[in-house]
Amino acid sequence: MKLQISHQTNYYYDELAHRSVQYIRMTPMQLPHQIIHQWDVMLPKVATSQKDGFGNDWLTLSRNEAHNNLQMQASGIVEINTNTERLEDMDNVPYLLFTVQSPLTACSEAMRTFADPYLTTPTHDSIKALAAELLAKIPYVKNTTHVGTTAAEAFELGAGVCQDHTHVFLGCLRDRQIPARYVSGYLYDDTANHMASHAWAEAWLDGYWYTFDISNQMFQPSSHVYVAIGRDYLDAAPVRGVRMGGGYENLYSQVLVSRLS
Amino acid sequence: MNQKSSQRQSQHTGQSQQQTTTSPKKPQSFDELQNGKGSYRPAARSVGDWLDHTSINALNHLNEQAADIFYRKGVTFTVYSDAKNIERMIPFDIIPRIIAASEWRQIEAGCRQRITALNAFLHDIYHDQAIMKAGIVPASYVYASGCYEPWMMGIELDKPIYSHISGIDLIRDESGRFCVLEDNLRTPSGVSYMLESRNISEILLSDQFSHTSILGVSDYPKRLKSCLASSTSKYDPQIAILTPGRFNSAYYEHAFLAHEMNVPLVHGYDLIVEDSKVYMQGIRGKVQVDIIYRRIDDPYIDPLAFRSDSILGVSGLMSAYRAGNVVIVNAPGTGVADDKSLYPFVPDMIEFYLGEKPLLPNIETYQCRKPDELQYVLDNLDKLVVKETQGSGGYGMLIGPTSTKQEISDYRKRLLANPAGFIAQPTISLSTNPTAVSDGIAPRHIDLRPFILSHGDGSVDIVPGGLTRVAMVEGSLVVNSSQGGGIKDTWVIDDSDLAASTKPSVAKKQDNQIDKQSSEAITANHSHYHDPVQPLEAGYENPDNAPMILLLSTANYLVWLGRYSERLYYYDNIIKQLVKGNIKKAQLHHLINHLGFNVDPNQPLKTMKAQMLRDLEQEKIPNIVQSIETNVQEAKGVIGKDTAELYNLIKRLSSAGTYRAATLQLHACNAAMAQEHPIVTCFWQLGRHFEQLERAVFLNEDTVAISLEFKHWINKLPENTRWRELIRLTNQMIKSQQLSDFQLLSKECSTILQQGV
Repeated sequence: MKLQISHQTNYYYDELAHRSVQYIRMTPMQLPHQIIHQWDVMLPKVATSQKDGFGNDWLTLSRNEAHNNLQMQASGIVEINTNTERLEDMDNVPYLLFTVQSPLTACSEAMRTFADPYLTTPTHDSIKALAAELLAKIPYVKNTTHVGTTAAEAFELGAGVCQDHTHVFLGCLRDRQIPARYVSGYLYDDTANHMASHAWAEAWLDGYWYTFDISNQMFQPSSHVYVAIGRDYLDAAPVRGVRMGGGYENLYSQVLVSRLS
Repeated sequence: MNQKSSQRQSQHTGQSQQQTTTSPKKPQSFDELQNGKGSYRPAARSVGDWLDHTSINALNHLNEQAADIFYRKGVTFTVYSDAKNIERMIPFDIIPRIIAASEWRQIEAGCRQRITALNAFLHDIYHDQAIMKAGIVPASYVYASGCYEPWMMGIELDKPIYSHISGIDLIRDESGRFCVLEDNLRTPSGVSYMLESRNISEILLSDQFSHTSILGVSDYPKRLKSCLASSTSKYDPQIAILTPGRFNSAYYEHAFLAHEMNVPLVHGYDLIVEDSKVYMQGIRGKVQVDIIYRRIDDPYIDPLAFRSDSILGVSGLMSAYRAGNVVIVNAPGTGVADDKSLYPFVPDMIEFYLGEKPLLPNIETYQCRKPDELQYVLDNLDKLVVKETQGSGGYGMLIGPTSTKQEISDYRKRLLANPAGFIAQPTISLSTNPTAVSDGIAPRHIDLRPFILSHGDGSVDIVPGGLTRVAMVEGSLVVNSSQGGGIKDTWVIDDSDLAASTKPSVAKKQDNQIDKQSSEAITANHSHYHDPVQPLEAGYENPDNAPMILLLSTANYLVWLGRYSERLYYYDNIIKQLVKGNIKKAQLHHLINHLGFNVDPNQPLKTMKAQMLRDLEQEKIPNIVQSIETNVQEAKGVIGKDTAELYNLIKRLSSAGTYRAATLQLHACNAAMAQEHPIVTCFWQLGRHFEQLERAVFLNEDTVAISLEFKHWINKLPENTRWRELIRLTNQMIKSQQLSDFQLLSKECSTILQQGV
């Protein structure tokens, strides 16, 4: 399936910012089941292009002149193999690394109790069942959580978005020493082409990475475009930035994913 | 010394000639200076002779003098548990710890071997992971340490060294064998104590120095600088020390090393990243930084890569680091290798990477994550020392033999809740060293932290000695400064000509050596006279003419130091007039209206005067003294040691309530400031004259003369930069005499100081 993707992210500041630095991860990964035909990230200034420790494409944009907005546009054409069941491990990122909790995924007692029945003898099916129960427990509700909400907080709240679903799921699995990682990317949905950027989880079972998209209850990356992987949101976030000055900010963000073939 | 460190175990009282309180069944601690028969070891004979002929009163007097020197210099540290971050002084004992050079060579070889293996391990875990694949170190231990840093994966460092500066904590067991208690590979501190201790014993025990061959340590800053410079293949790299700031307990050391190495002391806000290069904001513009000796912990160095709430670090630093444009010393992610859960594997690392047998043994360690070892630990809690794998500073550990039943049972619960977070070791009686205590010389337990410098080419450099920490409480095995431990000077004594002789060789000292040493001492003691405090730009022979790299933020602190100094004089002057009584009511009203005092203008003159005095003495002056102290601390990297010492006295005089003396002391400080590097003096003078100018403007006084003096200093600012605008605005103000022109000048001045040229 060939997808045309356009990801627009605009920040508008109330005041002039003197300086800002952004770490940007908006370039899809090169993977056996995912071919990048064309990709561009347009930024207000030339950025440094590197790989981060996980092998993600990573841009650093630094601006040392006064500015009151930041506009980023990532777009291109990606072809994915929709029949992919699971992913091979990458040599450069040891899977055991993903058994370690991060502050965002730390497992609370309530999460542990909740996940326990599904993880005593974990199988692909039992973990899918856990994923289903998680969505029932934490229905998808926008604007109840923020980027810094921890897994335990979202679980307690009983509401959240894909980032929260993924963190809670990762927290439960890692608590059982099952390697599980965070994936940031795009989702093709034939019912609606306006989407925000997406996040889902992968768990390491019988030597492969399996997809667990809690928010959509999808367990194969059939409509998923991989952009970055990491331990949690902070490792894979599309944008992490710091600025000096600027006051309050408004964010306009939109992802368009449409099917070419 | 807030860094990681440890506890020292065992509770039995040390044994020596002076003291007899020991249980006969327990092994005796090794005494560093004396052998079992009460005579001094060969390398310690000279000091022994001196000790035998020195009264305890004389020793206590020397210790008081040492404390005075520490106090004057402001060699202090902060204890985290203190509610108000009270400044404390580290206890110092004048009786040195002595190591024979022949023994030292073994320590040196052991540390060199250990650090080489640890650096190889760090490289390995972030690349091929051969040691994990070989099943020697379990991968799960490496990741579970919580210090494994994915940002370090796959980086090809210019020079593959991770821990450039390491501290290895050594103890000596009952048989006198040196063992490794723990490794410190993050940001080990304490080296300034090593240097200050040596300084003090050179001053107070100059006789001993003149007839003993003590190996020197004073070139440590030079050796550190060459180690730092070797971490990149760049020519003449620019080094900076990154500090978390003056509230950090080791700030004294950060400023000390910056000063001694002639490199800028920077805060996160001084550094900016542009196109993946790191620059510092200087008064002439940006200067690229090639090597950052950071004294900030990993989670805080880059808010975009690590903790996003950190305000201490540098946004974008990891981008510059991974691009190879800057070296971070020590590298992020070194904490894996000094984690206590990996400590038991260090001997295996030495065998694996070097194919050698460890020269320095580990202490037997029980890993509580292993069920059978946990069971042993639980059964023997009253005999063991239990530590958190992530613990440091002597916090959060259990010393079984000296703990109460309640403490043991509480600790048992913590241990059971997370066994993998703990290790245990047998309680070892640390060696003792004679120490001057109030009623005599008594043995106190000690350890040793040598400082190991790993150069980019793989060579390892260790200054002969290190930091000897001493538990000042009888029988205590806890030497951490955060737990009340003190320090001693560590003398590595050349014993090559002592080995054969059984008599002290004091008399045989050659005269020419004494001459050489005393002439070196003269140079050393007078280094202040010729040392440039901060780095000079290349190509300038004469330090007085060379531009120095002055940070913009430091310039701002100097300006404020000048302003507050001037304000203190002015307030002192008002007090004089109030006390003498020759101040009129109209004058008082004028001051109150324009400068703001907490005085009720409707009261009779007498009451107003009393209110004004109270406001000055209780509020205004204490606040100014505090502000002077703050700005001196912030500018410490560029102010001479003697000048800083003079300023220290202001703080202390005023905290004793003698503001008049504090003001007089300020005269001495001003005299010293006038002799600092010309550009340092310039910004401080700028502040003083700006303060006078502002006051004259507020009080509607004639400003012409003051403006001209102000202009004199403005003219000395770097040419051909944005500073030039200040000259124009000053001239404009002199011509117009308008408040609005003063305001323009004031605004431009603070804008430049904030945003740079």
